[in-house]
This record gives sequence, C-alpha cells and structure tokens, in this order.
Amino acid sequence: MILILFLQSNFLNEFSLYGIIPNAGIVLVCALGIVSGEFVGGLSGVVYGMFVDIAFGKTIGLFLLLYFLIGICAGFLKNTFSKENKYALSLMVFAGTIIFEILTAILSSILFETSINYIYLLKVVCIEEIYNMFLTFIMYRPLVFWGEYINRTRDSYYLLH
Amino acid sequence: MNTPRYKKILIRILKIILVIIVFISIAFTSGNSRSKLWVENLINGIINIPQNIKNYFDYITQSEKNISYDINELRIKNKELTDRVNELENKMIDYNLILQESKEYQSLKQTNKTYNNYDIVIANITYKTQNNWDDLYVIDKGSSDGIKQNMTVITNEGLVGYISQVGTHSSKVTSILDASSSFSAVASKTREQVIAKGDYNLKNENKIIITDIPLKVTYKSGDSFETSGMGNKYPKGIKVGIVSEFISKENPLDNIAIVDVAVDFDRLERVAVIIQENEDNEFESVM
Repeated sequence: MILILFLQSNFLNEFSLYGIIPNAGIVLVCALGIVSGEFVGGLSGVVYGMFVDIAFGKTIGLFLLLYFLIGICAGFLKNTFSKENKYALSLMVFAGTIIFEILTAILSSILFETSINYIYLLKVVCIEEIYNMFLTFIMYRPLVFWGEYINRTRDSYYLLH
Repeated sequence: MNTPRYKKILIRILKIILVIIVFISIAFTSGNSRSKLWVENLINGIINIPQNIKNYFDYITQSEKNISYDINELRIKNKELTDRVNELENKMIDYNLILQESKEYQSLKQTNKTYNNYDIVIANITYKTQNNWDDLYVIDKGSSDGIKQNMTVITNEGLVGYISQVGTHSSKVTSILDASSSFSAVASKTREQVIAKGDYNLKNENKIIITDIPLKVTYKSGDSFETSGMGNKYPKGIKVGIVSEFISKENPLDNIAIVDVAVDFDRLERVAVIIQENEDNEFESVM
C-alpha cells in the first residue's frame, strides 16, 4: 500500500496530461475487490484511503469512504467475472473512476464550499480514464498475484471467511 | 464454506459502525484548519521515510552530476565568461551613475517600501497532494518548529497560501490555487478591494480569478494585485499576481479578471512560513 502511495506521489505525478494525473489507488482497490471479494476490496479501500487522507487529504474520511465504496462495488463482481480476464478489471476501473471522481466533486463542493465545475469534472474523468486503463494493464499481474495470495492465506484470518 | 450466522451479523454491525465512525471523522476533520491527530503524525512519519530516502538519493545524484564536468567545456566557458566580465566592467561605470540617480529618487518618495524584518521559518516542500481536485503541499516543518495553523506561507516572489494542518514535524499548506481558497486582495495602483479565488480550470496554469470587481472598473494586462490584509487571513501587501486577461460580462457585477500568480508553483521547492510579523503588523512591498 505504501509502495503504491509512494509511486503515486513521486512517479505518476510526472505524467500529468493537461494537469490530470492517474490514480493508482482505484486500480489497486478494484483489482483486490474483483480477485478477493468485497471484504478484502473494502478493507484495502479503507486502508489505502486512510493513508491518502492522512498524507494528502484535507479531511480524514473522505477518500477512505470513497475507496471503501469502490472496493465494495468491485467485490460484488468477484463471481461475475473471471480473474484471468484483464478486460473485466479494466471495465471495473472505468466504472470506478467515474464513480470516484463524481463523488469527489460532489463531496468536495459540500465540505469545502466550492462550486461543482462540470467542465473540469468531464475533463478529469475523460483523461483519468485513459490513464487508469493503461495502468490497469501494467499493474494487472502483480495485483492479481497479490489477491490470489490473500485468497490462499485466507484461512489464517478469522474475519475473512 | 457457509459463514455462521453470528459472523454475518457481526460483520454487518462492524460495517455500520465503521460507516458511522467515518462520517463522524469527516464531520470533525473537515474544518478549514486543525491540528493533526497523533495517529496522523505517526503514519505521516512512516510515509515520509521512503520520501526522505528518495530526496537523499536525489541529492546524491545531483551532487555527482555537478562534479562530472567536461574540461574542454569548462575552458570554453571560462573564455566566454572572461569576455563577458570585461564587457560588464565597461558598462558598470554607466550603471553606477544611474544607480546614484535612482537612490536619490527613492529618498524623495514619501513611502519607501521594503519588506520589513519578520520572523520566518524556511521549509522544504516534501510533496504535493496527489489528486486532481486539491492543491495542497506538505512541508517538512511542524509545531516543533513554531508553526501554527493559519500562518501565512510566502516565497520571495509572493504569496503561496496558508498552513491548514499542523503536525509535529510536518504541515500542510493550502495554496491560493486551491478551489476552496478565497481571500481579499487589492489592486496595487488603484487600491480597489476585490476577492481572489482559486479555480479548478485555471489551477494547472498557475492562475486565479479576481471577482467582486467594483462597477465601471476595468483592469488591463500588467495590473498587479496584492493582499489587502482584510479578514486577517493574510498580512497586507504581499504580492499576489498580475492580470493576464479581463473578462467583461453582460452583468458588470460578474466581470472577472484572470491573474497569473506571482509564485511559480511548478518549480516550488522552498517556502517561508511567517511566524511573527513586525510591530506595525503590516508588510510593505518593494516599490
């Protein structure tokens, strides 16, 4: 998790397009959700979101909640798609990105008293989709491997049954 | 394997409690400025470790690049510099005369404005926030260095923002480019009070917008703005930026000006946090 956060803060921000950067957290959470189920997806969203809130956020809980939601939604699709199908993951990342950015815009406007800029939202969604889908194909193998590892060691974790 | 019923109920209860805790956390931590919790300080300390290692390696790599000079290139540069020095020495005589005249002109002005002495803390930017909606910077100084919430952050070019969260050894700076940023400014020459705000579409171009422009007032490219000191958010007289475009609307009250901020946020590496202002509680800008 910290490695992904480190990559996000030091590496991925070098690849901004019109000021928009990709979001590796969505890819991480969706992958773990699809491979390992809603509990692991939700838990990974909580942990990663908490790190993001503490390190980069204005408030504790905003990104925690958003990543948790994305993880849970991805987890619901565990039995719908095959884990070997990277296009399924990219589809989930596509949907997750849209949900994430729309909710971020709405919650930010409520919490921080800003107006929702629909043009900027559209710009963010369109550019970030391309980036995140590209990241999905790059990070697919390691994340699926990690998810499978969690599944294999599931018996040692009480609440993961 | 079927999950026992009591486990399902337990998990559901835990989910509900977690969601309630998260909403409470958002409610308590969504204020404009606050102190960091001890768990945030701990986690920030852990997250900062790889960042500090990376900064150290960046420093080592840069030092090695500086050492490996090409000797021939140095010789060529030496000759160029020698020629340039000779040329400048000839010009220096003329410039000294001009400087003397300028000093005499300055002394005739009623208000000779300079940045007064004030206590500052120099901080390095550790990293910038990594989402597409906020414009926050994390600096490597915190409450242990005398930093408190709402302190003003500047560079020698102008206004950067304010301290929004303070930890023990790090702090978060909300920049003036952030969409939630809004403060009172004043035109440097004509002294109209306006409101400067961040904008989502402009933040990546290092621009902000000026609103609440008085009726029948227009600005042209090159007009500068500085902080007004109103609202006690920022001290008076800190440079904000220069107008790049003035947009007239049907309703004159909706006129806006787009301002290029004075600080180059793309190359921001070091900032100064104002700890204590002078006795007059006022900043004077360089004329």
